[in-house]
Amino acid sequence: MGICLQDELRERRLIAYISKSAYCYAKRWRQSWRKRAQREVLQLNAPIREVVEGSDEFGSLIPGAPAAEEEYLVTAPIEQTISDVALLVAYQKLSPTHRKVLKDLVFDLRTQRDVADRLGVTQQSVSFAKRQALRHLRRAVRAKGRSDRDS
Amino acid sequence: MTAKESLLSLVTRAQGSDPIALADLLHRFRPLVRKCCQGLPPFEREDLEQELYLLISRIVLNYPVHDSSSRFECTCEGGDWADQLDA
Repeated sequence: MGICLQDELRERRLIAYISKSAYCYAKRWRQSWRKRAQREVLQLNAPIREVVEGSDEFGSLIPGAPAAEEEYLVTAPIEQTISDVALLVAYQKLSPTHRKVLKDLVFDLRTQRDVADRLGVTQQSVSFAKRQALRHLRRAVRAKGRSDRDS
Repeated sequence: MTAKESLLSLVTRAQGSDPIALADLLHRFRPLVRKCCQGLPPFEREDLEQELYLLISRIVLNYPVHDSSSRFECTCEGGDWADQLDA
C-alpha cells in the first residue's frame, strides 16, 4: 500500500513537472512568436514573384548566391538517413539555402549562431530559414499523406 | 477492459527504447499540448505542438525514475528546456 502511494506521488510529480515545463515553454514560445510576427511584416518588402516549388515564398533573408549545387550531390549520408521517401523528395526540392541551413542545424548539429557566422547573416535569419524549410517539408509530407489516403 | 498502464512504467519502458511506450506517453499528454497551443494560427500551432512533443519526450527520456535526489533537482530546477528556445 505504501509503495502504491509512493508511486502515485511520483506520478503526480512527474505530471506536474511536465505540465509546468510545457506551459512555461509555450508561454516563452508565444512571446518569441509575437516578436517574429512583427518582424515578418518586413518580408512584404521582398519582390513579388511567383511561388515556385522549393523557392522562398516570402523572399529569403539570407542574401548572396546559394551554395553550389555540387555540394549537395555529395550528400549520400543525409539521403541514407532519411528513410521516408516523401520526406526525401521534399528535402531535395528545397532551395539550396534551406538545405544548407537544415543540413548544418539538423544533421551536423551546429548551433544557429555558428551557422549564422558561417553564412554571414544574423542568427534570427537562420532561425527564420529553418522554420520556412521545416514548413515546406511538413506541407509536402502532409500533401503526400493526403493523396495516399484519397487514392 | 484492461487497466491503464502506470505512467512510471511507461517512462521506464520508453527509456529502454520502446517506441510504443513513448507514443503512448505522448498520447496521454495530448490534451495538455493542445491546451498550450490554443489561440494560435494553424501553422504556428503545428510548430508549437511539435516543439512541445519534443520537449515532453526529452523530459521523459531523461527523467531519473529511480534516483530520488536527482529527480528532486530536476523537478525544482525546471530542466534545461529554457536554453533550447530559438531567439
